[in-house]
Amino acid sequence: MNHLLLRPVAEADLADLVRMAAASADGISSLPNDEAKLAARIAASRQAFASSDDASGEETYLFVLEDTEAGRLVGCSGIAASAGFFDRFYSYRNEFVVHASAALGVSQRMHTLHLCHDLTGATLLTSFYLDPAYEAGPAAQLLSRARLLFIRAHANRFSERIAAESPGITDAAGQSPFWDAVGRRFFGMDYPQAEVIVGGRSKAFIADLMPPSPIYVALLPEAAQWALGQLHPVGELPFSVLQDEGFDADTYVDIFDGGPTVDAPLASLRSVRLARDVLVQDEPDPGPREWALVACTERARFCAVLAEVGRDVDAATAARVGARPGDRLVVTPLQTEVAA
Amino acid sequence: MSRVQITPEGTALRLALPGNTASLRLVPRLGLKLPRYHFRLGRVVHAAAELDLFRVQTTLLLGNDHTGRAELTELRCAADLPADAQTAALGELIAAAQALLQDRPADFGDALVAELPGWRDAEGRSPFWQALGARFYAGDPAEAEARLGPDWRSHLAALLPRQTVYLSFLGAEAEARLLDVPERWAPARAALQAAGFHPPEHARIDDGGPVLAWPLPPR
Repeated sequence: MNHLLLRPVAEADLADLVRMAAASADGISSLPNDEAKLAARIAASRQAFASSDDASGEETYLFVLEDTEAGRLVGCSGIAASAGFFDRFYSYRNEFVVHASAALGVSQRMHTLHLCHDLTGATLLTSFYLDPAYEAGPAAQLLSRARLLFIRAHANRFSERIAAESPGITDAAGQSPFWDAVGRRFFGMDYPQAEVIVGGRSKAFIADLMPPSPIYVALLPEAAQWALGQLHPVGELPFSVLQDEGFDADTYVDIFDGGPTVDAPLASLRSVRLARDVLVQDEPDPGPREWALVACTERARFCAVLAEVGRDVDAATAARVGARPGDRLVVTPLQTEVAA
Repeated sequence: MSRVQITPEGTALRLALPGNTASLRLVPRLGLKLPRYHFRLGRVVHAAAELDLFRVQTTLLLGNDHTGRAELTELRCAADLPADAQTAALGELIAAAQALLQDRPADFGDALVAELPGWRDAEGRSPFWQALGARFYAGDPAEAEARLGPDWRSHLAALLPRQTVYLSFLGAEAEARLLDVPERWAPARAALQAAGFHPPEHARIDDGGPVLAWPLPPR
């Protein structure tokens, strides 16, 4: 655990990012498998971290997870400051309507999907990728949750509402049952093809082609009904981290593949609720210690590691995030089952 | 001089030909007690020039558009008449109903409406019902109609989608059969069309049968 370092992406990381984008599943990752686009993502992130202005909302931040022993990058994660910044951000909202007839002796809850802009302007957690060799350990916790400590520390740059999209289920051929039942009717093309055509365009562009009236889930084929809110296997790990944080997964789904879009107020998230500011001490308190995320949250030198800490942080741990005795760091417990 | 026999039946009138070879009911002011529902057919275009996409979709919207109009129901004809003769016989009755409406629009309503049954397969299954109604009412529509009479559709409406439904969601068969009638109803449909009823813009909510309307022509 002591060899993992989360830090902002640097220019020199391009080759590693290209490798990770190629390894991540095609079409379901938010990492473009394209060197020029990845270079642009790095540049945008560096600019966002460097800017001392308050948020304009268009910023995207990209973090990488480094195995300092192996000397290579093993994952990445990102933040988009404001969903749909230049335009509307579309989701389907689950709503339930009771249809009842006394004469027919029926009263039933009908599930409908409403096209909405609810999450426009929310801060989006994006671009999660972790090398499969690291999936078993706590790396995913550091990679995903350190973003929340960054957002907490720079709240004026972000929304109070945090959301994250997860890839929906597809079959072996990359076809999405939800897309086949909904999007295909309005686009007349299959899902991988639509992704290529749409790639990079704003979602609003596509959503203009979708029906504005709610979709009655009962009218969808069984496979599409079943796919609704289901995760693609590659999304399970990052999704479980967010679920443990306290994100709500029942309200929104992606308008294209039906995958769950989670959201929550920042302040309600476990890492944020349990986060505390601690001082780096030459002679730390000898009391009980527990595994935690430890972050230096200063914008220009943000980074985070996993370490055992007590009431305060010792100098050796602090050195791993570039801090010295007297500096303040942010700590939040690694274990998710710790009661609030 | 018309040979149509007119008999009051409550607030309605029974119109029949001698020997009862053909008959129908003219019911004034439909849907003023128990609301009556039909699907209105609409058209929506989703276009995106950049993607070279231009897609026309047919929509169904539940409503009470025909409320207050007069209705022709129970269109019947001796089954042993050839189809042409059935059309002609019903045509006489429909013309008589149109004359009554023109004489007494305040009593009957400003248009005539006729609801015809939707297409069914050899086993009596309606593809429209399978694709739409059956998803919202698990019971047997024939049983419900036997129990509640034609009113059953007013109760069914409470269970159906209130918001616009895109027809393409119902599948190719239901889409193809929408507004079709069973073969034995073809003469009735032909008679209505010959009498000046407009091409259907509404469908029956259970089986997708056509609802034809004839607005009173301006005087």
